[in-house]
Amino acid sequence: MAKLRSGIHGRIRANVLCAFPEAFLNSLASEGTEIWRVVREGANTISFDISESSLSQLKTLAEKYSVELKLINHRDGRRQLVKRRFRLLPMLLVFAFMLLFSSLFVWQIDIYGSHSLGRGELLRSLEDSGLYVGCFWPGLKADNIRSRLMLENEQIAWMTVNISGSRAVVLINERAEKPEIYDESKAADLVASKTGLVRRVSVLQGAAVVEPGQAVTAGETLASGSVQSIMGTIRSVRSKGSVMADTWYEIDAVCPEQMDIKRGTGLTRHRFALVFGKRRINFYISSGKAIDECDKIIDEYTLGLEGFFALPVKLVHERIISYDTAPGQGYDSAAMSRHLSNLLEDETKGQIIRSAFTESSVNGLYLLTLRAHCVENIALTQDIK
Amino acid sequence: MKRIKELPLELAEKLELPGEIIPGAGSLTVIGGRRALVEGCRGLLEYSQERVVLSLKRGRIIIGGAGLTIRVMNAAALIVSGRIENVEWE
Repeated sequence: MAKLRSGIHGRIRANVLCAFPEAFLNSLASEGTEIWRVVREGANTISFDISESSLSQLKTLAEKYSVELKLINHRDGRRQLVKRRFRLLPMLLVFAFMLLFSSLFVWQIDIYGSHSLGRGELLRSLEDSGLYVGCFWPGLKADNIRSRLMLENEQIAWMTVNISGSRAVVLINERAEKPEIYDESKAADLVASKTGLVRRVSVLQGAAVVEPGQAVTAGETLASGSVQSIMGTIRSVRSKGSVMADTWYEIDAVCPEQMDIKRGTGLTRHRFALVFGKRRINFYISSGKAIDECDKIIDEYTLGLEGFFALPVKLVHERIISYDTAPGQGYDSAAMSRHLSNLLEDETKGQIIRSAFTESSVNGLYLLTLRAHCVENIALTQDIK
Repeated sequence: MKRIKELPLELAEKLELPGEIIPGAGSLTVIGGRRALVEGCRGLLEYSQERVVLSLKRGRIIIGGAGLTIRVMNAAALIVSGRIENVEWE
């Protein structure tokens, strides 16, 4: 270990023979030389380490004090290191060449800005256009890819492909949905979107046909677009206004009371594989299903700098977690009530006055019911045919 | 004469100042009986595997033990390793 350390640091081991070796060491130290591993060899002999840069100083002092100096294991550490570095040079060149060569291929495809289209669907379309993992990117034409993908997928309004190193970044801008256009000149009635009890009627245009306190069913006309003029003629208008009504909701959620629940057995197996480009090397013998009931979690680690550069080497770590099943409670009432509350919020567009949950058990099923009383605008514009 | 030499140390003790601020005051740190660091050392007087004698500005230190080796030595400090059995400050 000491020899290795000396080799790395470029130290020299010296042996000194004189009447007072301690005095010689003091002189050497007072000149600013650091001395390591001092060992008493004999009555007048001491050996020690010094750095290569202090060798000339040591020789000068040895001559001055007429000391017999012997250099043991004198190896020029720095020269050795340089030699070793030169030996590494071809390897470095090969590595640099491989890096340069691999950077001419796409090893990672990142897609941003896509919401309605799935990654798999886009990757398939990109592969058809010539962009896939392992493709030679200088031969790609971004315009061709763009044209082809935009023709195949109507949702894409604009897209671009940027290549940085061996990473392809696909930026997608999806087409915005065209809003529904209302023809303001077309006659329309106001109809009830839900069944309820009318609280307040506010018709700005058209003729109200319901009054507060009146019960209406879904689809019933609330305000007519056919208005009688002073002259007695009927003219058609587009009804406008709001009708606030009390509405009631009853939403159910059903789950089995008992079902098989997964429980970890504590047995986890780890499997590793290396993926070079499209070739996979498994570091395990059998790829078959070793455990009957298990979850398989796969983590992939790509070699390179995240978001900047990717090498065609990927480490795959598979965790196979065994589980067994045992009968247990098949429902989570808290989760079910949360889900029902969310459904109610999506359904109603007004204010929830009161809500209550009731739970019951029917034929081995757990039934959770949410009943709510709301106040909301039930007026819905419907064109007169 | 000795009185004058000891004056800075006595003054530092009276004023409750740390001894490290006195120029030329040597210090000795022994770690686990296996390693000793001597600072403010002016030179090596005697060295064998059983005994290391060091010169300080004020007095000398004698380290006794077995298998003693000098790990590092420079103009101001020195590290002795081995089984340290006794230390004398003269």
